[in-house]
Amino acid sequence: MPQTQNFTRPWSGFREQFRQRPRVSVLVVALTLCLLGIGGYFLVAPHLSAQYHWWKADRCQQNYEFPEALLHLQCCLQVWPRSGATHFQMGRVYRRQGDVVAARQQLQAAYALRHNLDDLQLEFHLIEAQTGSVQAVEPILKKLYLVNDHPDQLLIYEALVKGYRQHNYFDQAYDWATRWIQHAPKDWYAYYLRALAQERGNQFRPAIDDFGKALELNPNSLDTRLHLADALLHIKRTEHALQQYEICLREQPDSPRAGLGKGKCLILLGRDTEALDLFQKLLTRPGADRDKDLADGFRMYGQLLWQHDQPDAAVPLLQKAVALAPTNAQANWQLAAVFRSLGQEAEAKRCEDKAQFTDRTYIRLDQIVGELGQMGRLETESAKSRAAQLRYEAGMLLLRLGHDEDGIAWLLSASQLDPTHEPSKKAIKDYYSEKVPRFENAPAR
Amino acid sequence: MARQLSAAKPGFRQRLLVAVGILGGLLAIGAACWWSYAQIAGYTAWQQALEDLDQNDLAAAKQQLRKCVASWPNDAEAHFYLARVCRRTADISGKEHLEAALRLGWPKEAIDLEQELVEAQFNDVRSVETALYSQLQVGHYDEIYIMEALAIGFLREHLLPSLVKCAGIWSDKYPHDWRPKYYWAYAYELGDDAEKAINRYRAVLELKPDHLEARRRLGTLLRRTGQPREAAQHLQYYHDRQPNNVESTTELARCFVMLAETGKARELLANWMHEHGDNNLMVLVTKAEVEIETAGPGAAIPWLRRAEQMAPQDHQVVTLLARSLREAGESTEAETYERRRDDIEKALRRLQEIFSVLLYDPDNIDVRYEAGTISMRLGKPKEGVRWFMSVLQIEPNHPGTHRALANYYESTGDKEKARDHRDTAEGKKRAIVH
Repeated sequence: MPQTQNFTRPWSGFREQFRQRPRVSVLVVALTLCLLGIGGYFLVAPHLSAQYHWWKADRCQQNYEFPEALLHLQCCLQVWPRSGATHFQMGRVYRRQGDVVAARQQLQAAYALRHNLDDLQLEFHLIEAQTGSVQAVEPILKKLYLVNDHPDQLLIYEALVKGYRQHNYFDQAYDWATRWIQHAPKDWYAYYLRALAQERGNQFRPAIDDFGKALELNPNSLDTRLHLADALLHIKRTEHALQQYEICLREQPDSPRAGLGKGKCLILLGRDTEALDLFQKLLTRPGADRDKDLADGFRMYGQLLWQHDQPDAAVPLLQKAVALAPTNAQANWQLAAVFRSLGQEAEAKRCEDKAQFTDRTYIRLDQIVGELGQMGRLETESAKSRAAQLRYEAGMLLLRLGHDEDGIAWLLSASQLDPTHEPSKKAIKDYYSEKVPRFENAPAR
Repeated sequence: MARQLSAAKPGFRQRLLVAVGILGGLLAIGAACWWSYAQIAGYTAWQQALEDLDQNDLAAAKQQLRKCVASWPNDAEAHFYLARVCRRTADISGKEHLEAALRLGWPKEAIDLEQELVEAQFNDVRSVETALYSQLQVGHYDEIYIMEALAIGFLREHLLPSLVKCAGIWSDKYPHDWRPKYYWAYAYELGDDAEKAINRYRAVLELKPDHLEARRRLGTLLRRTGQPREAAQHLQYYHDRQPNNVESTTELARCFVMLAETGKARELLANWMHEHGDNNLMVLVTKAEVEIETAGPGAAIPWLRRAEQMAPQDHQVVTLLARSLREAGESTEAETYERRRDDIEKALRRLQEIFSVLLYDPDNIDVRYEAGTISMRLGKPKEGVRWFMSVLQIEPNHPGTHRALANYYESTGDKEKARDHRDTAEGKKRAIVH
């Protein structure tokens, strides 16, 4: 009988034995729990960690901290290498950060892993809106995604604002940013992008208001503060600009842009000694003589030395400024003045000619941007044609100044606005046939 | 006894019922196993196909997708994927799978796009070019497939500037993808710009070092531009993996000749002829070249005579024959071949001019027709037909082209096609659909 009992209830003996040895039984239970815990930890912990990084990536995206978001998503990918959703989010973050090549790569990976096609389609539209032909994509986005409250509505606004701003359509960028602000009045990035559009369209006062608003909502954005300081300096609110640059330098003491801005303010406020100290520190750093962003610093430093009766010391600095930025009008003017003071008339004349040409070009560019701003939305064909002509002119001026990338962007925007505008098409073709050999640019159908 | 019998009857019934039950159960289990097997086999094939697609191994992906469709005959997605892979591997059987996908409820927009891609790739790229570029302009998740189909279409119709433009857009969007660079290189190679083609093929190999075709083409171009040492490395790599390929074998032999390693060249050709026979034009010509370098022109002449029988208008054969005969002291015969060589060179120069004209005027049917006629005259009927077909894509009723095609098909014995073209040429019939 006991055999039958043991056969049907095999654990009965063990139970009895465990009762008799309580310490062993506690040890066995503890060991089992430990093993379960360790097993559970190795099985579950990576997923919990990935889930945490996913959540953090989402938060970072909401706060426009794209590099951090990417780091978190990369952690997710280590645990979930075949997650279409993670690849998709990475693609989206790369796109928002402006790296469309990486964005496309990630989105194709998401496509291969059969991520939702509607999401992917929207993201590919947004890539084109942000970096390609925004005017062609806008109607599709309006028709398909902006009719109801689409969950990605704000992302669409963001892409459109960035796209229009990049193609120098300041009014459209402003309009879409305003709509964005209406939907998300607490979103500092919307104010920031609207301010950038206004700044690029030479609307400095409203840009200052928007930069201020963006800083109210996100006081940690160094880039916003630098833009605010630049805009304040532009409208000669030098004291205020200086305050902003100093805040930036407290946060990032090595920032060349903040250093240059502060130096400029100090010169305008007549605090030359402080400015000289600042430039000496800023421009003697390793690699400073190859940094194009510091061209204006060399110019100001040279100018100060010349004003302090050291023309011989000023010449190499101004020459460095001109070498780093050949179309910097102020540097050319000052170099001309120094050469003249040293009796080198021919050199002075050459620099003056360059400076005059650059000045005239920039004045005309300002006029063009102003006229385009006044034209507003282009309703009629004649308005479109005029705008295309102005954009073409701006493009040609910038190409002549050596700003190829900006110049081509203006020419392309002219050609997109009025596809029948032959001069822009010819200029684009000529540009590319000079840059790249004949065969690549033979007219494709 | 009767009681025993009556007691036994229910027992039998019971046993029968149990047996039927067991049989039914076994059948059910069998059916469940069969169904599960089909599902698992389909799923495994599907996963494998996705991986193969990821690796761009289209032949393997197609095989897996066929298995998948066999297991899941009602799966629209599997049919659609199979149709797409068929198109990408130039397999016309994809059409029926596309129809099946539509019937099974796959989205119409996707089917429509796929049909446009079929049109671009196999039929008339110009008719869908604008629509496809519009899709690219506004962004599409299938943009790689769109650019690929356009590139293949442009290549097929010899629209080299369009191919370069398409490959350029593709490469801008996906700079880490070797495919646009390969098409780019191919376009430059066809456009006779060896230097750029070499650079692009090198770029392909940087991204995909095991791309055999790029290695072969790069090796050939390097050999032709006088860089035999580097060429030999690429061609050797190819030859080690594809020893039966005649083009790589002959090019490698030529490299060896240029590097003064004629022994290796002879051995290579001898091995090839031992395996495949000696009735290949390219091998005969290369063999003759090797003989000229090692044993003198006299030894090359028999090989060249055999080659001439196979391709009497081949430029290389005629040139080598003229040279060998001249050097062997057969002046009268050499003169005949020299005249023929001059004629062929004139025709080839004209073909080069035509390529240049087409770069800027791809719709010029007169020069396309002329290119077809020249190709036919040079004994390159495949190229000739391709040129004539490109004329008919633009002008479907071009009488001269139909006449030329009728003559060609008559010579090949294809009476039906010859009659169709003749009728169209004489205006008895309108445009033949190819």
